[in-house]
Amino acid sequence: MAANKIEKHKKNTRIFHWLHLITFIIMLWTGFSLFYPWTNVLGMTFGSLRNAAFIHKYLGWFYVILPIIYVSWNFKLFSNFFKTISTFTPEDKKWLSILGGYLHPIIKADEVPPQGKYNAGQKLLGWIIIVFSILLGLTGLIMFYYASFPGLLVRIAIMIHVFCGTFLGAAVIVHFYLAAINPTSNKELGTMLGSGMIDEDYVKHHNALWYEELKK
Amino acid sequence: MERVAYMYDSSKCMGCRGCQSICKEWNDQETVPTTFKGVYTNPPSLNPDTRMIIKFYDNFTPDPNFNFLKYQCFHCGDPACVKVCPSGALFQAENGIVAFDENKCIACGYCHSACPFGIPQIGKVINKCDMCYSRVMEGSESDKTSIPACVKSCPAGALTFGKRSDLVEQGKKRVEVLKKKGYTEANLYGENILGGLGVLAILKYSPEKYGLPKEPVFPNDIGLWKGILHPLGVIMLGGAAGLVVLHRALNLGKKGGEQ
Ligand code: SF4
Ligand code: SF4
Repeated sequence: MAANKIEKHKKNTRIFHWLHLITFIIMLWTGFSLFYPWTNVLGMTFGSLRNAAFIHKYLGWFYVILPIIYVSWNFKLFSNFFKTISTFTPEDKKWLSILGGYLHPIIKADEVPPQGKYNAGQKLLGWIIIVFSILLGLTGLIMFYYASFPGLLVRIAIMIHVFCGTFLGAAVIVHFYLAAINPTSNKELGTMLGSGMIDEDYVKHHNALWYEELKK
Repeated sequence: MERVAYMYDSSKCMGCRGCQSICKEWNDQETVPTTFKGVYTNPPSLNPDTRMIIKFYDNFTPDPNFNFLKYQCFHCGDPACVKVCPSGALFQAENGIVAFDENKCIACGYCHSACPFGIPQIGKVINKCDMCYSRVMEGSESDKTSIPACVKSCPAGALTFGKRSDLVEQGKKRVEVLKKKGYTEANLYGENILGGLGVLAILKYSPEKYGLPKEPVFPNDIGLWKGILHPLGVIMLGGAAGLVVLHRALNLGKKGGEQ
């Protein structure tokens, strides 16, 4: 089936996506070993807990600076993305109420409403990533310069940091599964990993609203 | 094992800073030049190379004399720093001493933010008074070298080391004497706060005048960290992983889930 292709993700976006994701995974892995030192194995990956802490602290700067570079460099791309994830349509509401049909038949969903470039779940994930990453960065900064802040603030920051980190970790697990493993949606991985192109047929089916928009 | 402690009698201290020097000496810490800022306290605060300082107060009215405070870790009976240390670097020995294993410290600084006095200083790793843990643990009970270096060095007899219960008794008596002498605010700092401090201080004036909180509080919020966030993190991460495996195994979303 030599289907037509549509570009979904630009090159810079793809590079940024993977750099940031890999950084996040290392941050999650090291952070997990610091938060749960009993998971000795995780700490051991880096030789010792101290190395894990060192990597976590200094790679954290990269994790914060990378999106700043990306956004200022590709401001148009980002503002388009931001506009997309900021508009929630009635279809999105329906999508969320049946969770995109992913839990069929536990949550009944015989028909999934048509979606734009990103479905409601992806929009939500976009928001989670943006908000939680900012929180992680801010609280991380407070933790890095703990001596300059009141103890109570530092301790609150630690708790917010831990919550955001584990929650984001959970979100990324689900995201990765749906984009890379789940048979009905695993084409997304190739789009992000490869040329950024995606089959027209797939778009017609998965992102009907976006498809209409493109055809106009 | 009985709890040990040492007591600092600020009414006997003469501010010679012998203890401060011997602390550096025994613990092999750098001395770094400082600048004179109009107060005799020097260095101006604890730092990663300084475990204890003598604080100087020359403004207590109507007392025309200098007043001093030996300032370092107070070895809480209920040490918040130990509770939060994620790597197990900080620990409380059976005899109550709050010591640390610097090889385990990951320099996160959580102890600093949890300590009601902000004592632990972190450079490459943690630094704080450990009541000369190695000295105290190595010597026998009759052997008078097995006491903290500062206690050993004090020429004014302002420092005494021993069983905590004995020291509390002695301290109370001394406070009575001071009260009779006209120091109505005299008090024994640390008898009951934070599980009872392992460093007791006889003060002529109220603790606030020395910059010490009268009722320092154990930061209860740290209970949230271990009590709620630890399990919550496992539930969230484990839950997501479980959901994914379940979804795959049960072939869910076959009919819907096209988006
Ligand atoms: S004074 Fe601070 S550092 Fe010392 S034992 Fe208490 S909490 Fe820990
Ligand atoms: S800085 Fe070191 S001693 Fe203090 S809590 Fe962190 S690991 Fe423990």
